[in-house]
Amino acid sequence: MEQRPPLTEHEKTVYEWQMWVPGFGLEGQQRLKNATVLVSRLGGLGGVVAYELAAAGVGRLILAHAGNVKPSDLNRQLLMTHDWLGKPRIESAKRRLLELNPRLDIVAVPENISEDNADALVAECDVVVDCAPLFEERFAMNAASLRYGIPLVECAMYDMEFQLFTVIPGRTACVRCLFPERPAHWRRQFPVFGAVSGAVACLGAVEAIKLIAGLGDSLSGRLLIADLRSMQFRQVHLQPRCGCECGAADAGDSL
Amino acid sequence: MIINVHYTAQLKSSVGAADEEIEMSQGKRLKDLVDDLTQRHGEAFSKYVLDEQGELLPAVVICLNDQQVPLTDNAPLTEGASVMFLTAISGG
Repeated sequence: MEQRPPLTEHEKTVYEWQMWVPGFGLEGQQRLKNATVLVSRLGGLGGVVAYELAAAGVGRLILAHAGNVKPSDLNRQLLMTHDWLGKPRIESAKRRLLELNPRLDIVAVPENISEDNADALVAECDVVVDCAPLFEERFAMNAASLRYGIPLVECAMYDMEFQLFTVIPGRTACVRCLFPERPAHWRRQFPVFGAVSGAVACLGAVEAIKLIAGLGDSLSGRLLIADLRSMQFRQVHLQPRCGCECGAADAGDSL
Repeated sequence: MIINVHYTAQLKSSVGAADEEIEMSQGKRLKDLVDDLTQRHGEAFSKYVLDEQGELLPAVVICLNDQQVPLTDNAPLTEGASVMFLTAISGG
């Protein structure tokens, strides 16, 4: 984690309410300021993750998202606006985040994560929050996070459901432990409400904040599954898969 | 014995139910349950869970009593067991 200047008096005022959180305080806030988080894609999930992390005072965000704003983005991608239709998503996101937190250092990457850029971007950060739609992107981030030992928060949604878990590289089940191959029946477009993507995104941001600040217990080794149609939440315990590239199976019980 | 089966995401939509109770005779195991559900729901279940050879698709996660388990272990089922079939989802 980088060493950035101590919190200013203004920052202490802005973050006063969260610094009252037991176990967080001034030290936790400084850790957030020192931290760099990579958020992959700024859609319904990643946009809200980035917004919450910007609000919380994370010092630096590396944001990756290609393409231009489309009308069908606007039911859930809260960093995209009508006046930005047809213009680059990454610029809309940067503009909105800086309106909220002008102190934020943003590295805006107008590309999606791939095997070509994952290593360079992941190596620069302290936590990765994976909000990407394509499993190729997820696999690239997973592999890079394993190589550099960077915790990875996995956010996913469908219809009125979401899934969330955290990977501690080499210690807990990774993306490839659960999904060794690209899922055969997964489709790029699927039903979802913005309120559902926003719900899991807020939880993903909480995971990132906890990992950075050393607060509470992360969802490492546990998968949180929510069905917001029935408001049922449950957790399942994940097991590292034998033979997986992450090697976590060698560290304990495995499948 | 009664087994409580739970489906998520695409599989839930395909089967048309989030949960169901399946009655099975004592001594049955996880693979027996997969066979039962395949017979009961046909392709609506099998296309998300099994490949053309009838083997579990790699990207399906099965949880028995909230613990991820490999189908190859063919764990025994007991009265009231909870079995969840998770299909992969992502962002966007």
